[in-house]
Amino acid sequence: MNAVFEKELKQYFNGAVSYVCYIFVFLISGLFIWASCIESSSAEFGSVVSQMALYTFIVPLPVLTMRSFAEERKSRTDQLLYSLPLKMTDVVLGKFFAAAVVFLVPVAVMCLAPLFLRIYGTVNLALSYSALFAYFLAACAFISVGIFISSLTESQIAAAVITAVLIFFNYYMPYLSQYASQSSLASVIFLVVLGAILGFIVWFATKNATTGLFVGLIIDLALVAIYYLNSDALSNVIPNVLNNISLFDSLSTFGSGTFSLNAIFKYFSVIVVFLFLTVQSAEKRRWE
Amino acid sequence: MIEVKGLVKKYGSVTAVKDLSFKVDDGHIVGFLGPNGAGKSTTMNIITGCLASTSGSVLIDGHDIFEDPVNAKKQIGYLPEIPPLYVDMTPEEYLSFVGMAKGLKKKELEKNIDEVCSVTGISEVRNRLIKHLSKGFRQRVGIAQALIGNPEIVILDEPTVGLDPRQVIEIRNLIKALGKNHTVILSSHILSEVSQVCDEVMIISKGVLVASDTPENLSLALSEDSVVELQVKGDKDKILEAISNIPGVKGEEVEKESKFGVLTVNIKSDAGADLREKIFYAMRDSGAAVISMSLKQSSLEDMFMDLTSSENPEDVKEKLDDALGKIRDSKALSEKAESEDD
Repeated sequence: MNAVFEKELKQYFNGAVSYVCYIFVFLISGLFIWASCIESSSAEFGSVVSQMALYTFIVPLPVLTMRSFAEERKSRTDQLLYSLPLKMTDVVLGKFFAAAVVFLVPVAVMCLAPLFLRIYGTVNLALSYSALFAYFLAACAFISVGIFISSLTESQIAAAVITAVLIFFNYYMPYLSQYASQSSLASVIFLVVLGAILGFIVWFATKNATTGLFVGLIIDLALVAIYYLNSDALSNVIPNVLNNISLFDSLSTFGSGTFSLNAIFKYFSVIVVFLFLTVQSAEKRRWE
Repeated sequence: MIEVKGLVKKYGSVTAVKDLSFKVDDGHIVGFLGPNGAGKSTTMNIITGCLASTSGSVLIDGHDIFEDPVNAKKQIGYLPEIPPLYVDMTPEEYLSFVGMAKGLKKKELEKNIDEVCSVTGISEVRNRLIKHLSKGFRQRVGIAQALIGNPEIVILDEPTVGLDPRQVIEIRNLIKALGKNHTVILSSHILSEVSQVCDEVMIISKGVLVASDTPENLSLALSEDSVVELQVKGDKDKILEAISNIPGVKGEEVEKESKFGVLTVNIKSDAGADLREKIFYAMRDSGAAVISMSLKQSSLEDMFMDLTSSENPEDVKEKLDDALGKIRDSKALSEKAESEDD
């Protein structure tokens, strides 16, 4: 893993990618801190962090992750990764940690902001730093999504655009949830589709159609059974799911002073799931 | 040692490799020879673990490439058809990444990079970005990458394609030198290249291994009739009679008769046969003087192209098997005769 990690870091800093990200993040975060804290004489650094998240993620994170696997594929260097005595998990983890470390630099610089703001008034340091911690974890979660998207395509541009669109929609999920159907029937249809998708993922991962079919069927039958036995249990599922998918929503919880273990757990789950999917997607290339 | 058993690779309905089995012993330079699209790269990609096979097994020094990939891959250095270079790195950074991935320690790695750079002749450019290097240097960086960690087996996919003639010769010499300490497998679609460099050649056509032997034997098997061009001075009738009495002669034809009484005769015999010695003694017995004699071989490149473009590789295989069998038999016989003479 170290080898890939070091290589990725070298590539990030040999090229312009990381610097472009830094300029962007510093510009946006600087503007936010200036406008929301200094100009309006407010010490609410935690809520500023949650406000600037979307704008500091939507360009830098896709740019950081777009080349991850797409470029390796395009320049055929993926063959080197396949032929070296490396496990695919190590390759993916190396890439993930390198991107995370590159993004850690501006976060570390932002850590200075509460200290400066303290000169002018009282700043809740614990709150500020827990908000920055959550901010960084949310960034890592989107990095894992970005790396996964990059592993699906040969085009860096496509990877960047798709990742940016996903970040954008993720941000607006809670707003969309207000318009989602609350009926149990809609919920059960939604969940059955999810169950089927899960079945396909299992099929894809195990390369065994029977297992995938079995998993999908069991889940779907269970859902239909629940719907007929107690349909009320399924109402409001879609709005709840949409609400909870959002990684930004939890940031404002941190910003308002609650250290949410739930949110931390959510971030880590997203990271693990998408890195796992990336490993599968990269391994699958060996079969094509 | 590499052991390949019953390798099959299908892309959808297309079979790229059909039931390939072979063994490569330590310390040999083996060439995969075949036209583009014959399945050479696919086979190499499978052996190095870059590609999964549909069925069959590959053992690298006893480690199965699919079951125990990490240990198997530690024995291999691989240069794919397109050198997998990170062009935004310098050769030194690139080689140090490869070395670390192969599990070398920092100190060991530095020494190894120095060695590999000097062997492949890239020491002078090791601190320039790869994107600024010429194609020849890039190819060398690719080969250097395969040599890092001193793997027992080095696999090179068309290492000389796209290089200028001087670079081609340099790379060939490099490969020959590698053969002293490594097992080398290389692929090529150029017969002469393979026969110059390799101890053993495997001809692959449409995913089938049609023949595997020394380049010398294969050249003999691929050539059709061998022809001896003889210039001889003496009585024409006597000479022709003596020639037709030599066992193995399929036909003779007088090409030219000079006014000084020198005959130029083309003597045909089976592929692989070399009748020069017998002709010499026959001429001596008939009192004729041999002025010159040479064994002419038809263009191997053409024969090879004919063979490998054939629709049915199985037929080619049978034909070549036959020819090779004869050559091996005749060699065994002559060796036996020699040892009896002693």
